[in-house]
Parts: sequence; C-alpha cells; structure tokens
Amino acid sequence: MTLSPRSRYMFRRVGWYSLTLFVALFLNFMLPRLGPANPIDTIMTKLSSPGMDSQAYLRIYKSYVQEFSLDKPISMQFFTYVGKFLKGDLGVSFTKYPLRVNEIIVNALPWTLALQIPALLLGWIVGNVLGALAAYKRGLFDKGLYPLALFFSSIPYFCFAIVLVFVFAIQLQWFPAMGAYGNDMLPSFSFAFFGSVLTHYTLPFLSLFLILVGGQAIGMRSMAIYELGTDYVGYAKMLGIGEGTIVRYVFRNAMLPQLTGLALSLGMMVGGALITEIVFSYPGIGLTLFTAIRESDYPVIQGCTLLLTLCVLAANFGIDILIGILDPRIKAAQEAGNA
Amino acid sequence: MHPLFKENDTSSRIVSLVTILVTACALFMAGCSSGDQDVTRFPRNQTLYVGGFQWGPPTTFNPLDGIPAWPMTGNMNLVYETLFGYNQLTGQLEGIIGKEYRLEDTSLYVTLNENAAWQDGTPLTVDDVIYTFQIHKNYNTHLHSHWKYLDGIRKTGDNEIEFILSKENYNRFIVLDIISVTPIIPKKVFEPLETKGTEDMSSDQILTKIRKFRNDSLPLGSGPYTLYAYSDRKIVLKRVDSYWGNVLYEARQAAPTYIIHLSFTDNDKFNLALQQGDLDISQTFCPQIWNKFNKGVKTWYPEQPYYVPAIIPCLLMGMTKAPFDDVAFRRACAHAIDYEKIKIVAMYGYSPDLQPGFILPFGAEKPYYSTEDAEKYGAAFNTQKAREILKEAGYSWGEDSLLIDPSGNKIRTLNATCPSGWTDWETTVKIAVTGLRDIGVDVRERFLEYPIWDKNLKNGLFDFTMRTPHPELSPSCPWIRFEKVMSSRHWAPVGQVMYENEGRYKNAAADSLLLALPELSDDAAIKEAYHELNRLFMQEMPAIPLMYRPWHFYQFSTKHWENFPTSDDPYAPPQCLMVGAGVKALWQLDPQK
Repeated sequence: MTLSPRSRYMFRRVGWYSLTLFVALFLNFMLPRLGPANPIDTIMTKLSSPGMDSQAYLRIYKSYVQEFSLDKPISMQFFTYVGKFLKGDLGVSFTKYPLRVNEIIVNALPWTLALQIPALLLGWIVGNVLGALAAYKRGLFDKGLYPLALFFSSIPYFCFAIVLVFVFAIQLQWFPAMGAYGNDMLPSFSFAFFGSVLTHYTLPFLSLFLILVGGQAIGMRSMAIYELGTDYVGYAKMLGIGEGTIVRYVFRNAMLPQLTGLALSLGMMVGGALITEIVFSYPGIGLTLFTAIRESDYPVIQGCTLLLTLCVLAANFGIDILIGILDPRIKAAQEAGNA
Repeated sequence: MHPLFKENDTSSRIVSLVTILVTACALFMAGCSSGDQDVTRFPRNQTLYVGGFQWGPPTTFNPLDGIPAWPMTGNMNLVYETLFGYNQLTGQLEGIIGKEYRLEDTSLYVTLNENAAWQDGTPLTVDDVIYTFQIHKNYNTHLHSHWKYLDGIRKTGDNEIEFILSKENYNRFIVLDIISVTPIIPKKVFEPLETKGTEDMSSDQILTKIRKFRNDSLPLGSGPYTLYAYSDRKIVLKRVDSYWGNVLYEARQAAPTYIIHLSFTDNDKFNLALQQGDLDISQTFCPQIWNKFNKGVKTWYPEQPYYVPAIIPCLLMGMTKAPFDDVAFRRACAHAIDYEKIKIVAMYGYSPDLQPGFILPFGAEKPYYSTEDAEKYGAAFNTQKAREILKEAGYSWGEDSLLIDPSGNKIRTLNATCPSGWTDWETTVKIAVTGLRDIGVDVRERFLEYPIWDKNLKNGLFDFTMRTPHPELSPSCPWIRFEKVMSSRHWAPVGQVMYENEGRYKNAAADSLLLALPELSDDAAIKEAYHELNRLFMQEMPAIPLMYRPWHFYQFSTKHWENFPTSDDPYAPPQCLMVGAGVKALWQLDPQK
C-alpha cells in the first residue's frame, strides 16, 4: 500500500514531533536538577524555632528527602516522572506542598489565557487592518500611524508595561497597579467582582495589545505596499476592476506571513506571559513559573515548561500542516516526494 | 474566496474564543477556595490589610506543619494563641491563655486564665495545653527540640501546669521561649488524627498523616480571629465575636472585623501598596521611609532610627581555616569596617550608632551591657588601629600592598557573600569589603541565590558571610544570641550541617560560660556573667556585628485606620499587631473618619 504524498508528509511530521516531545521531556526533567540548589534546602530555610539545633534540622531534612523520593536514583525518578506524565499527573509541588502541580497550573492558566488570547487576536486584527489602511490610503493617515506604530513595535514590552504602571497606576491612579481583582473581594458572580477584574485587566491587556498592534501594522503596511506595486495589481487596474476588489486581493496576499506569525505567537503565549505577569503581579502561568524558579520547585518548573513546550510544539505542528495544505510550493514539493 | 476567510469560519473562531473565556472563568472560580462565605466584598473601614509575613501561596493552615501559612506560625496570636506573649519593649511575658507563671528551681508553674475557651465556646483546659506539648514530644515536629530542655509536663491543679526543666540541659531562658512561641491546639481536633487507624504506623508516618490535615475550613483556635477564605495572594481572617479574651479588654471587640494578609512578589510592590493606602501594616524593608511620611505612612519613631532596634546582623567568618583562626586577624577586620557608612548608606539610618559587643545597649538588655568594657575591649572603625594590630601580630604587606601572614605567605583571596537581591545586605557587604581591602585583605563580594547561600552557610563553606544570628527577640536573649555564634555544643566539621555557630568557633571558656548562665537565678550573678561573656566576645571576635536592625519593620498607613501604637503612645510593642504581646493593639485601633 502506498501512502498519498500528503499522508506521508503528515506521518513524517508526527514522528519528528513525537521525538522532539520525548527529548523535551528528558531535558525538562534534567535541567532543573542540574542547578546547585536543592529544593529541600529551600523548604528548610523557612523552618526555624528558638530551640532548633543541628540534630533536629537533620532529622527533619531526612524526612523530607524520603517524602519526595529524592533518595532514589535519578534514572528511577525519571521513569516515575514519565509514567506519571503519561497519566496526566505532574506531581506534588515541593515548596507549596501538599498542593499538586495540576492544581497550581489549573489555577493559573485561565488568567494567562484570558489575558493573552484576546490581546493577541485583537492586536493582530486591529494591527493588520490599520497597516493595510495605511498602505492603501497613504497621506496623512499613514504619516500619523507609521511613527506611532514604529514606536510601539520597537519599545521592549516590559519597558512599556512599567511605563503604563508608572503613569496610569502610580501617578494618575486611574487603574490598579497589580493583581487580578480587588484586594477587598473574593471571587463571586457579581457585577462588582467582574468590574474589578476588568479594571485590573486593562493595563496588562494594553501593554500587550498596543505593542502587537504596532508590530502587525508595520508588517502589514510594508507587505501591502509591496503587493500594491506588483504586476497583478497593475493588470487588475488596467482591466478596470473595482478598487474594493483590488484591495481585497492585496489584503489576502499580504496576509499569509502575518497568519504564520499569529499562529506562532499563540504558541509562545505561555512563555510570553512571563514578564507582563511579573510586572503586573498577574496570577498566571508566567508568575507561577517565575516564583517556582526562584524557589527551585522542580515539579512546578517542569509542569510550566512542559506546558510551554506542548504549546510551541502544537503551534509549530499546526503551522506545518497548514502550510502543507495552503502553500502551493510545499504542495508541489510533496508531490515530487521531497518534503 | 480563500478558505480561511469564510464568514462562518470567523464566527466559529469567535465562538471558540468565547468558549475558552467561559471555561477559563469557570476553572478560575473553581480554583478559588470558597466555603460557605456570604460576604465576598470587605468594607474598607472594617478591614485591616497586612503584609510581609507570607510571601507565597498558602498551602496549609495546620500549626503542626513545619511551615504553615500565616497566621498559624509560632507566636502570631490571631487564630491559635500562645500561653504568654513576649513584649519586645519591656522584655516581659504578658498573659494570654496563661495568667501567670513562676519559676522555682527545676519547675515552671503556669496558671491558665479561667476564662480561656475555644472558639466554639468549650473551655480551653490544662488537658489541651498538656496535649499540645506532648504531641511535640511524641513526634518529630519543628518544635520537637524544645523537649531537650524539658523532662516532663504535668497537671498540678485545675488550672495549673508544671513544666519540669531538664536536668541535663537545664535552661531557664529557653523554657520562657517555649511558653511564648508554642501555639496551643485543641485536643479534640488533633487527637483523632493521631490515633485513628494508625496502629501499625511509625511515629514519622503518623506525623506525615497529621501534616496532611490542611485545617483550612474554619480552624478551631482560641484566638480573636479565624480563617474565612484564602487564595494564592490573600488570606482573609474574620473576627470571632464571642472571643473569650474580650474580657481582657473591657469586653470590647477587636476593632477590625476582617484582617486580610496580601502577598506580593517583592518589597517594591508592598511599599507601593502601603503608600497608596491599600495596605495598613507592612513588615518589609522600605527605603527612605521619611519620603513616605507625607503620604500617611508612619513608623514607630518619627525620626531616626524610625524603628526599634532589636537584632544584630553580623559578618561571620569560616573559623576553621587560616587566616580566620588568628584572633589578631579577626580583630583587625573588625577595626577595618566603616559602620557609620553602613548605617547611613545601606540602612538609610534605620539603626542607632553601633556599640561594641553583642548585647543591645538599650531596651530590655541594657542592664547586661557594660560601657566600660565596651570602651576597653571593643572594636570601632579605625583603619590605622587595624594595621597596627596586624603589624604587632607579625603580618606585613607585599609590593601590591596585599597582606602577608607571619609565616611569609600571601593571604589567599577571600570571598564575602550574602543572598543576592537583598539590596541592603549587598550594600553592607560592599562597604565591609572596601574597608577590608583598605587594610590589604584581598576580598571580593559574591552574591548568591538564597538556597545556595543558605546551604553553604550551614555547611560552613564560606570565608566571610553576612548573617543574623537569632533574628528575633525572645526571653532567652541575649544568651541565645551568644549561643548561636560561640557555642560548640553541636560542633560538626566543615561539610556537615551546623544549624548554629556556622563559623565553627570553638572556645572552652565560652562553652562553660554559655552552660553556666542559664542556671543562674541571681540578678547580679547573671549581670556579671553577661559582662564576662561580652568581654570574651569582644576579645575573640567570633563574628563581627555590623548594625542593629528592627525585629519587625513595623510601618503603617493612617489612611484608613488610626491610633496605631508608636513611640509617642507606646501602649503596645511594635510587633505588627499580631506577634506576641503586640496583638493587644487590635483593640485600640479606630477606623479613620
């Protein structure tokens, strides 16, 4: 039985990605353990009492080592880890013991998704529309938009976040500087609560959104200007095709690389959250990972980086498949058996 | 049209986005702890916001866990209470569950307050107290080592308990620590955990089982507050209106209905929240506090040193290796450091002038301090003197002006370490290093990740390192401070853990003084023994004291509450309204009109 070129392409991809995942799992397990700090040292630093002495310290230390199986050989720890991973169990946090890593991630992930997905999608859409408009309209609109977009696309996004905090939270006090909802509240299904979530959401959202709009607008503008100068546009104009239709053609053609970019940034989302969340103390995956690294909390670091790896792999895989389907050049290569 | 731009495609994207958001909300609601609370918004004028005691997400509220969340730790008398509360201003123990105590030879008798009760109204009895101490004896808890100083505990009356002091490790100071830091827990809650289905378990296994009890839904304490709700960044306590101890305060209630502990990732965020009035009390390092006074932020003193000095960060030295095994070298180092600069630059003036020795020359320890001794034996910043000491001891300087030891060998390059990110400490270490280099000691500063620094410290792997021996005040001060740098009781070689005296100082005279002091009961004898110990410290320099630091950085915002205790109105000690005897200030606060 021979596989169709497209299925062969798919199978090969799946194979490569599985291998990558395994290597990622291995690195993920090993890297945190190569550092000099031991998580139990971290736990022990928090223990203290007036009568505590060396013997008491050692006794307690030993009991923690056993509890976390750190006395087992490292190969055994690795296979236990992979076995548990396949069952969807990411283990127990060292420093937040007895919390499970799954619980910690489930608590944090929604905040990250709720912050990043709307910022990415809206930023992408608005950026592309503005970029296309600027390219098409030129004139005053372009002259106003271009430097602004250039500014937003070139300022590092953590700097921009800090500027937002300083101006709107500290100086003007229009928005809260940190957290995800008011200190005076517990989560509840109430207008007050959702209102509070919204005001806390504004600055971190803007810090991501504006920068993305800038970047996308610049990219789209130059792509569109390039497309506007191509032969097919001239030809279409000569044929007397309506302006609206031409703009649509141009827009669609300029879109392809932008789309790849979007898919990639959706994949990198979890990692990208890190600095925004640290600046705004936004309780998502980024902040969780940051804290875990500071505390050498291996299971949580592994859980977060694994999530990151999975997202990036999934996004890349998605793009590979999508491009395989969309791009005529790749399609041709598949048929020739080269890809 | 391109397949990606079909209209229904766009709408399906929107649908999936909405689905994700809704799922996210649902997941997040499920992730937050919510018991049967009916209040989800806390009125500002009834809520006291505190910070600086809990830095990460709370994990367990079980006081038998080594690291329970705030306020279940040690002597935070909000949910669980101790027998007595230590007052850092007077050095006295004030009654909480305990009414009075008396120390007779080998026994400490404690009478309980007859009103003491659990929050469910049942009386708190001698049995509960004995049970609490027994459980620390039976299992390897974080307070287990208290039993080194106790031989037993028994009931000697309806309301009286006798603590029998250990004959082998007789220590009058530590037993007072013990009764002021052990939270009393209800027997009826903890005994079933310990006994049910544990017949075949070892004591360590039983302890693990007890530790698994998170105690996070309405813990039954005896204190004025109980746990109401918590999330990763917040712990909410609610007042128990029927608190038995209100009798101690003319039957009034504590002022705040809610106490909320917020946690942020770093000091800057705490300081910002305090300045904006989102935090009422903060126990964090706040640079240039005087610049925040006009924003309603206050401290204990309105002028320098702003805080009450209480603990003594030191430069420890790895005493087992040259050049630190030479007392002349250590003394020269002590003369080389500019303490005034440390106070002004690193500490923003939050310290009175440093006096020689290891006893606080003010407050409760003042009677034990001898000014004459300090003048005679103490070290002060004097580079010339440092060089003279070295010269007398046979040291010389090479062409590169680096130090050469009496046997003619160049002294190796030394490291001075502290945890990285502790900016005030980093500055202190840099100032010390500059001074040491000035007398020809080749020393470099290195800032390490906290767990690594801590590990090296305990294993004795350092040359100079900054550290606060006994970073709190307790009835056993100043004895325990000396014990933590001079005692070789648990001496272990470099590479093995020592939980105290990490510099590995060894001196028979110091050991016998440290052993003898806790047995003394005559005030004059205690005073003389402390003088002697302090003289020995100044002559031997087992550690170089660098500054005085507050026990708690007690700073508060008057934006929403007023009548905090201060030096002008010191009705309670600056212990953040919750530690030891500081808790009584909660009854004196008033909401700001």
